[in-house]
Amino acid sequence: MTTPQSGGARLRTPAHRVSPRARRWWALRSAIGTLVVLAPQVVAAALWPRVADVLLVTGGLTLVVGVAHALVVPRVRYALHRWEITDDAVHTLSGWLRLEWRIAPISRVQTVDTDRGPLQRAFGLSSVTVTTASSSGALTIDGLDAGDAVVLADRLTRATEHLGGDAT
Amino acid sequence: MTTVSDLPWQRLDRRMLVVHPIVDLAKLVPVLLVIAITGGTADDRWRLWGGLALAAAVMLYGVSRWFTTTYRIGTDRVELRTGLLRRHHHSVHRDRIRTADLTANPAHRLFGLAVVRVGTGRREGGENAELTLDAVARGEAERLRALLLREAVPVGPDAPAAPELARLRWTWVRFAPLTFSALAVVGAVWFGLLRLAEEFSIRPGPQVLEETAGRAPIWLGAVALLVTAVVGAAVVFVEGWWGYRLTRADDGGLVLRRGLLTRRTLSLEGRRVRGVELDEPLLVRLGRGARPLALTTGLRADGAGEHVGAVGPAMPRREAHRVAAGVLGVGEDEATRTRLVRHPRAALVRRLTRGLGPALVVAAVLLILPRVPGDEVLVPVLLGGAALLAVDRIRSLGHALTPSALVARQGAWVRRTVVLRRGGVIGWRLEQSLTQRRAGLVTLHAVTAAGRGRYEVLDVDVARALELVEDVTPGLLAPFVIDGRGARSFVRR
Repeated sequence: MTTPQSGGARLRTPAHRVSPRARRWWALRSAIGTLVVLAPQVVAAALWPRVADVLLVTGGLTLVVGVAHALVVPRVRYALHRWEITDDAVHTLSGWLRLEWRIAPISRVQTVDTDRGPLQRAFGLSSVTVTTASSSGALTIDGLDAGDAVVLADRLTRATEHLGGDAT
Repeated sequence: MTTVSDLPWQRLDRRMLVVHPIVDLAKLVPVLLVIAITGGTADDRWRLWGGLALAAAVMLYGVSRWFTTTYRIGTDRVELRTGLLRRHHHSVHRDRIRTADLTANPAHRLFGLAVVRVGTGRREGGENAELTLDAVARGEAERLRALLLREAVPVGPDAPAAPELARLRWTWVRFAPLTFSALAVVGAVWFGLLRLAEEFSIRPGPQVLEETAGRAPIWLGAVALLVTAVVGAAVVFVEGWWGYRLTRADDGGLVLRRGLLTRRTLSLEGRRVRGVELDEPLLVRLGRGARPLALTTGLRADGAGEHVGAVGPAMPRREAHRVAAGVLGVGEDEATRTRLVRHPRAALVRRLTRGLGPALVVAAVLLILPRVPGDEVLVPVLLGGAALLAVDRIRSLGHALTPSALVARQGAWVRRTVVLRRGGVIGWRLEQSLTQRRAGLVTLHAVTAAGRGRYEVLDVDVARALELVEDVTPGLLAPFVIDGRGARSFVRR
């Protein structure tokens, strides 16, 4: 392997993190996911004692992986997820093993949606989704503070309003 | 065309009174056949009258469609009313109209009619984004198309000498069996034959099968497959591309005409063209052929599942380059023939490791497993094939930035050369996996409203990726760029 070219240009991270409460939301979501996988195993173990031994092992594994996931992933996400809105564009950075930086120029933004699921609502959180004319141009900022999300969506909507054209 | 708002509603062509019932009946034929053939124990009179009643109902419905369907084209909107029991009023703003395509199936053509399909170019909304006039007289259809797209009204079907970009050459039929659709045709034909044999219960008994199949040499089967592939592909080619002509419209857009039984006229508005693509599937490439595509906004795959935006069949590579350049209106060496920049060495190494790695694993498993028949043939073929593909991927990989467009090429099974106009880029995505991070590479996706939505420049140096972004969309990333000496990730945390 060649060494990466040193002295090349790089990017600094976008300025803003999501709301700290998003960690709890992600953890809860992870726990629910674990429960969904775990519950059928418990039921099956209760119904068919013959396979209970096997299910004890798989159930134990599920629990261990689930707890680890709920402890680690929300922290990692919180540490990595960033967003920023410059004069020209909306930027989001996400990913863990695979970094992904998405850019949507404000002049190309078509819709700005805020979205609050029941879980997000419980934590006072909200997602903002920005779509462009491309089928794969959308970018989403999850786990924003609900108030911040409204302000952000407002700001973006106003920024795109006075721009003409069909943004394609 | 009057401009008053209380414009009279117009009906479809009167000949549709005949065409609709005929087409609907034709669709009903399989059902009627099943009714006629099946059983034998049930009451035959019930069968006869049931079938007739169904046919009559279908014909009545077909006739009613003419009476219930009206349309009008006003100064600012096109309106269509349909439905017998459930009335539907559909209206499309004329500013929003992006496409007006004509199709005519054999029944339509017999009566000199054509279907006008008015599209708004929106991807979402499905049926609602489209308005279909099925059907009006051929001349009227041409007039409507020109009117809706604000083109100059053509005097005759092909009277004006529009600049011609391409025209069918029959020698191109040689590429037809090399395309994937040829395989699909073979499958469909054989499946159909088997089903037919089953219907007529000429399913051969096992002993018959054994005798004939046992005696017939294996090459006979291969030849039969090959012949159906070649003939089938040729038939599909002729039906689809008969009378193929690609011309330039006044507004810089394109008009594509093709089809033997079903005649299609497809117009691509000039300002919707975002770029071109040159596809070279492996077999076609070996035959020195390629397929030109236009990257335009608001095109959906048509019913036949054809590749969206194809502006020609597989043709000799030289022709394809010429057509692609013609679509963009630039020179060939600024379109798909642009001189490409090689990617960094790490990117080439990645092609090798990614291509050979899985093959090596499979080969190792094959060797370790005891007594796999044909080990000594399979393993070299597998490794050799993987190596060739990897080398081919290395040879394909490249990108460039011309004054007007971003060009990227990659792939072995299908080598795609994408030329995306700078103005067509409406966003970016930079991706870096763990292994890419170690090699200092990123994959840059140019997001666009056309075609597949985004096109990637695979495995470029981080600095080069940022340079490309800066060049195509100046200032977009500037607030973020820092000196990243020693950083491996493209983002410095």
